[in-house]
Amino acid sequence: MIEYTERQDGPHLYACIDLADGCYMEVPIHGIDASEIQQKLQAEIDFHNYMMADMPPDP
Amino acid sequence: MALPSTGPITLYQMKDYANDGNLDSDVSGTMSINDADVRSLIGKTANSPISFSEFRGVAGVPAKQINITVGVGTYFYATWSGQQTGVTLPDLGSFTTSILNNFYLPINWRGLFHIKNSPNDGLFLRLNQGSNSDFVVRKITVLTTLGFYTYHRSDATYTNLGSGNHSWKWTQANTIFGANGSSATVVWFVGT
Repeated sequence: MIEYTERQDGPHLYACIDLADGCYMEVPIHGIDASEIQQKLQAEIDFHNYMMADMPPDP
Repeated sequence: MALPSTGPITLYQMKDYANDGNLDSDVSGTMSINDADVRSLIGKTANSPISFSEFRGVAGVPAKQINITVGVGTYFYATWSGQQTGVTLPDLGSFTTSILNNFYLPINWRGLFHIKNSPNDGLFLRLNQGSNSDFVVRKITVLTTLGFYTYHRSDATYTNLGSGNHSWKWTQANTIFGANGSSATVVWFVGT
């Protein structure tokens, strides 16, 4: 279970996550069925980890 | 602030909003739906067919346009093992916009990529903007040889990567970029 807090911005709702690597992520969850939120968050975290693993240092 | 998403919408509102991102009745004179600033709200070129309904709910005013050349993204992801197409430039520059009360925003352009990582294919934007976290970009539009695309902040997964780096990712199955060397234009829309 991925823990998150919610942030509302007008009609938009975001799941806010403090990632294990120290990054902070906001995932839009407006319009998403509650039963699908965890799957959505996991996919975004997987993508993030995949990107970070291949990211060289800042130039 | 945005143009009305329901109910009546007038040309005056469009012109007023295009002026400074506010509906504060500070424009006057002759106006047309074909005016460049009005058209720019929805990314239309001169004399294109335009409907009033296209302006419903428009939020954000164009604040910066960059013209870029598409290339294989090697600036940030030299070791990237997947597929990517996009643009990489070392510096987007900075701009000052009256829309944000002359807020000065230095931005270092880090790249706009299409990443293939099925099933999470996406358009990936990365900027370095110092201590200005999650700058209020309402949306970006991208015009390439393949089409015209609009990406709203509210649809993006935003990540603060630390050290002033920020990223926004939109679900995008296929690349939006044409061949290497083709042109692309990115417009940034900001709003209060």
